[in-house]
Amino acid sequence: MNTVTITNLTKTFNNLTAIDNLSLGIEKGKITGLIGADGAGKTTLIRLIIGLLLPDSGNVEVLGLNPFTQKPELVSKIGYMPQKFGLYEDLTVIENLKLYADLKGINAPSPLAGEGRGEGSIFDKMLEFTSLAPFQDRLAGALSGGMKQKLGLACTLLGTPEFLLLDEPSVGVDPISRRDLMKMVREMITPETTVLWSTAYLDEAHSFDTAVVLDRGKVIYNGKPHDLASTPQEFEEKVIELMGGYKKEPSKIAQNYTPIDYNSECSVEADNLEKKYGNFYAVKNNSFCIKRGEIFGLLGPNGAGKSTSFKMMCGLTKPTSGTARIMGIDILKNPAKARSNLGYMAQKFSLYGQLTVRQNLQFFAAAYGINLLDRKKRVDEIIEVFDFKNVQNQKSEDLPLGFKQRLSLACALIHNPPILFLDEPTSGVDVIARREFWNHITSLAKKGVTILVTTHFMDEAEFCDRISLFYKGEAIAVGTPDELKQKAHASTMEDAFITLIKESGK
Amino acid sequence: MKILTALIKKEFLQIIRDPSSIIIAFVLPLLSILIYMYGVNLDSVKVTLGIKNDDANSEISTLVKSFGHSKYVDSIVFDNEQELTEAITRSKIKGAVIIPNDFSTKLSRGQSGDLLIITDGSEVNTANYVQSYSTSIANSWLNTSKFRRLANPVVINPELRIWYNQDLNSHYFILPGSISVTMTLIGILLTALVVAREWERGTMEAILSTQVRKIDIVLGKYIPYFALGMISMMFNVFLCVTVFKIPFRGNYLVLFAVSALFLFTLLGVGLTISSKLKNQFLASQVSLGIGFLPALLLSGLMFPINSMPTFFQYLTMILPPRYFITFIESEFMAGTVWKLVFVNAVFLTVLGMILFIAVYKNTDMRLKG
Repeated sequence: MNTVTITNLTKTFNNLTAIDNLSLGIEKGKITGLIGADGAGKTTLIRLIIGLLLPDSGNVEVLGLNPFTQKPELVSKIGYMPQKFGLYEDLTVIENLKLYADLKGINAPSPLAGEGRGEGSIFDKMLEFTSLAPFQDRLAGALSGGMKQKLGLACTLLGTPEFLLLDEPSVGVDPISRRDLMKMVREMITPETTVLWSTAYLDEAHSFDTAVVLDRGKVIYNGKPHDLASTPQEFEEKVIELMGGYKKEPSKIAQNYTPIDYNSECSVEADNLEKKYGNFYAVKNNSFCIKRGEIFGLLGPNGAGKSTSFKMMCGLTKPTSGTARIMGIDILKNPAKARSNLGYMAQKFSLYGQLTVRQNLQFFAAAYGINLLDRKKRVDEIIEVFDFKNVQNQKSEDLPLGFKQRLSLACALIHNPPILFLDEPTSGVDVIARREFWNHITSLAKKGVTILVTTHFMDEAEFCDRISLFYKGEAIAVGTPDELKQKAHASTMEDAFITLIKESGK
Repeated sequence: MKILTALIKKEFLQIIRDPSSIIIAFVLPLLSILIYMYGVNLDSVKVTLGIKNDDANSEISTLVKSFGHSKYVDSIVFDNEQELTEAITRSKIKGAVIIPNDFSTKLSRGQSGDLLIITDGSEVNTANYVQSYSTSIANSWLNTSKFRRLANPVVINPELRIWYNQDLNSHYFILPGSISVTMTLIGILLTALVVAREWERGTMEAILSTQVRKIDIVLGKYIPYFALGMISMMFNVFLCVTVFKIPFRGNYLVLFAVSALFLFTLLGVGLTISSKLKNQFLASQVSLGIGFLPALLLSGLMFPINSMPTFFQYLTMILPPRYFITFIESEFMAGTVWKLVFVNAVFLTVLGMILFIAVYKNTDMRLKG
């Protein structure tokens, strides 16, 4: 039996086909993973299924209802968690829960509440379940990414929906929180509950009952993940193949890079960096030395102090004590000179959305002090190397995420810096775009570019030469990926991450 | 009903936690009243005049003296024309009176004497004062001087009575008028941001997938901001009447009833902007543009409506502040005039209803695409 039956569904936005004559059935009582590149149509499909968008043509039937005409009846049976979680940041945890309970019309004792007790116990159970009980009076906006996501899920699960739709719930969240989330969903649902889960993590999708792969608005695979491949790694390869394949080519970006000579033992050096907010150490005696051409990864759960370290390293935040040196230049004493050797790619897309690709590049070329005569030549060169020819006159906010992220990298590289700082550069980016991105990064490192990177993707951590594992403001382990795995007696980086964090928490 | 209550409660919590709405509702009125109280003054002011007397006749020197004695004028006597010109250029004096050397000769011959009055046309208002003060000082001097036989016999002696505002204190109407400007800003600005904020933060998408109905969303925005707006209105009136001692001759019940209607139309403007644009930055820009500026310039507070070009006179018909300013000025200064209350209340109600429908129509229950 199917919870959702979609026939010949088409949806276009300004001549851009998001869903292309798509037909699909989603089986009742199963967890279905929705996979696809950025712009493949995952979010659009989910929004169509619950009637938040109207299609151009085609039919959708959800739980026997038509979402386009019977949305009011349908919404009481479903739980939908949008990408931004839909939380009110200026309400507390418990206020958010109560609000959503009221909006979903939960009066009657829910089966969740155990022996038919009142409403209060649903909240108790939800709080206990999400481990948010100690934080129930904290504003949702002050929660870490992982906690927000749990609260978002708790709000979605209220009222025991028959059909649960989660739109990329695990973007930008650390592996521990990801595992918790998966556990929560599996424990909270009944055998009759249908789940549609869109994700960029293929290991996640591999563990589901069904995998649906979308590409340019069409279903290109629909079946059991285990039929496609037996391990998550193989599954990833197969999915990439389905999506058109990724052929590793020599990175033009790296070929175009002109190495720079300098003499200093450490390209990037943190010297007892410390940041204190009140009595709370966001970062505590952090020291490391990154050699030329090394890829150094900062890993850790949300809120461990990675971003704070990052900001101190490039002089955006003043450390409480200690300092950082970029090619031997002290970032506190000589910030402008130190920074001129840096290319920085921020966590969020931080380019000018209203400007075109070319205009953004021109602006950053000017901002990094490339003189007027060389500027045009350099911008042309970058457009050529990054394959921006066809999109150079498009507004950058209209680009797919993968392109935006490439543009961010292009802007960070425009002044040919010997050092690159990348703060979660691939968050929310699809698997092929990630591979391509890392091909450029590793090739750049081979040409002598020193790279400091943070990520939540453990497969990406494997590309690092050395990793510093961060927890509660302190580096709890430093070493090569293999050393860390050995230390934790784990076979994958993700297991090593979780083991080491848990051990240090004890 | 439970859903509506939950939404209203949520909105109140957000208001309490968000300092910007408190600032808009309470600090803004205070600032605006202070500015209108101490910064804006439409009363006649003392102007500084330069006087150059080229006539040696001793009788004429009494004319110079009468300029010196006037309570509307500060006079400075110049002997040198160049210095006088420079004083005007440097704005040390706002105008000048030059008495030519044949002034008394002409007067004694029974001819009319020419008095040169120079005004600074770059400040039109002041220039008008200079002109009328100088003329009236010269005329009253003429009536008492030995040349008085030249003056026109007085046939009609106007007796001046100023109603409603005996002292011609402009604060008595500017301050109540300023309430309407402040309320326009508050009513529109408070609400212009709140729907757009829900779209931007993605909470609207989450709410739309629950059982809320359109009317819940609309009322869930109207009610809390109506309450906040009315509290802010009371604060405004308190400041005017109690703190700044502006006389209030009307009826508080009528005042707040019409204010409620006014606020109802304003919330409609704000919510229409917000639902339509779904972007906080745009919404705040637009609400300043179509809320604040027309309230200040086209409502009749600063410039009388019947002296505007015809097109703008018609345009003011759709501006809520126009109706409210007429009402509140008369309510403060003249007391309740039922006919006026009725007409303005009807217009505000009609505008408010139209806007409410516009808000309802523009509240999307699906994403656009």
